Amino acid sequence: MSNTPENKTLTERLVSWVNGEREPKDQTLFVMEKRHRQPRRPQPSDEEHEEQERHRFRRFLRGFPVAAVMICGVLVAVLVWAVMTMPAFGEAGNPINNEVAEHYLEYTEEETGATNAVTGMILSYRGFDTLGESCVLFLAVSCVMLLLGRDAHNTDEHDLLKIGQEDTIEKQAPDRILQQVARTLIPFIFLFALYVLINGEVSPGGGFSGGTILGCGLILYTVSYGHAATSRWFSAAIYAAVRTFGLLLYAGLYGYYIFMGANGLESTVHFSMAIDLAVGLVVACTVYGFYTLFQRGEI
Amino acid sequence: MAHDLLTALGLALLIFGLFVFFTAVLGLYRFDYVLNRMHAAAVGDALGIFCILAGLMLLHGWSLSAAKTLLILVFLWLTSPVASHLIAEMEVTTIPNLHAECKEETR
Amino acid sequence: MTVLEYILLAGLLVTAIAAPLCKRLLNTVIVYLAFSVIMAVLWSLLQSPDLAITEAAVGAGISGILFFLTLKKIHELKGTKDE
Repeated sequence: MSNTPENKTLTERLVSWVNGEREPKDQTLFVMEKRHRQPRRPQPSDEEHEEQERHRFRRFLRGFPVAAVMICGVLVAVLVWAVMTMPAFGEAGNPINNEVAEHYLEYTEEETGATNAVTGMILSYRGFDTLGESCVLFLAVSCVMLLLGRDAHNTDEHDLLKIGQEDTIEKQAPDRILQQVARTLIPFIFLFALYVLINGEVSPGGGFSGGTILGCGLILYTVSYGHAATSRWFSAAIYAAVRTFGLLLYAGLYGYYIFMGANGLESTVHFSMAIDLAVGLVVACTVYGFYTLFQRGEI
Repeated sequence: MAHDLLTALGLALLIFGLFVFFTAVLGLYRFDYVLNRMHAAAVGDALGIFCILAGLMLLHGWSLSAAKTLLILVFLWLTSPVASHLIAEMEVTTIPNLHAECKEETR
Repeated sequence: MTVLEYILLAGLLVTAIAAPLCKRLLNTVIVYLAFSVIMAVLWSLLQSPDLAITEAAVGAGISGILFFLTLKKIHELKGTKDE
């Protein structure tokens, strides 16, 4: 560490690396490389270099289909072998026909208060699994925000000009046909989404499907009325609040459920319905956030 | 007697709807330009869907399922023309030489 | 297994094979959306309607929109090139 040009402390170097002032390159290697006055091979000119690169790329493309076919073949072989070693479909002695499935089918309504056995299973018996899925969705939106979100550092005039052009086109020539149809349909889409969300415990559906339909309705609204109309009542702060609230509601409810002994809370609160709503909020925010971040880089 | 008549009518509507869809797919493959192909496809979207769903409703008789089929018909009739309109608008606004492809009319 | 299921499974295979073999990325996306629609019908035939709803909404709706937006970002769609 004595031959570092600037004798900074570790923290200072970390800070400068985070700020992007220098690459995390090993300094000693850098110095050794500099001592070579004469490069070992004659440095190719730009055209030669380009030609070499193109040649390498073409060679790569020639090998690429062979490798792809081989990987696919190996994968298919492994999967077919796995399927062939599975027990025959629908036989009574199969390992899935044990007492667990019977217990689920028999006691779901009694123990969780959900008529739909699938909902009761994924929200109560295996609630941690669904909590993990909600966390994955939450983290996915956060990562997309990090990657595609626009701020002062990664936006140039060209991007701003393009977005401004799209905005003026939307403002000056809105599509009246699309707007009328969207105004007719969107209330029914939201109603259907709420129906699927709330009835998740008695009928097919639930948090994931209902949340997706809710997000689709939001996307339709944004497409037809423009981004400004949506962000007027669904701004970035409200968006962050809603999706955090959904995840925290789920975590809190499920933690309370576990804390109370996991014996079902159907007498105090419609447990599955509340958790379905929480999952639906997270999923709807995920879907809508993906759309706006891909489209404009902001919520 | 009335039941037989309804069944025959439903079957006729179903077969006509299939014929309309067949022509739509044929037009989609035979035409070259986007707007022509959309014209062929939109026939299937509007008339074919109506014939098939109406035929199904007549075959099934009046029930909750038939009411849901009617709702599906209303939804498709609301949305698919709008989708066609948006595709056509996008094609007309982005094509550089519209004159070469078709005759323009201004009103 | 009815005839309809066989037809749908054949369509599933055809779309799954055709999707990576398309020349243009736009065609790949459209074939993939057809795959999702067939898959949604198959889910509902396999008596899991909640999966069918989710597959139809996510596979045929949201992922299609996201793919199209990505194609627009990398200028693969017609009319999105700069000059």
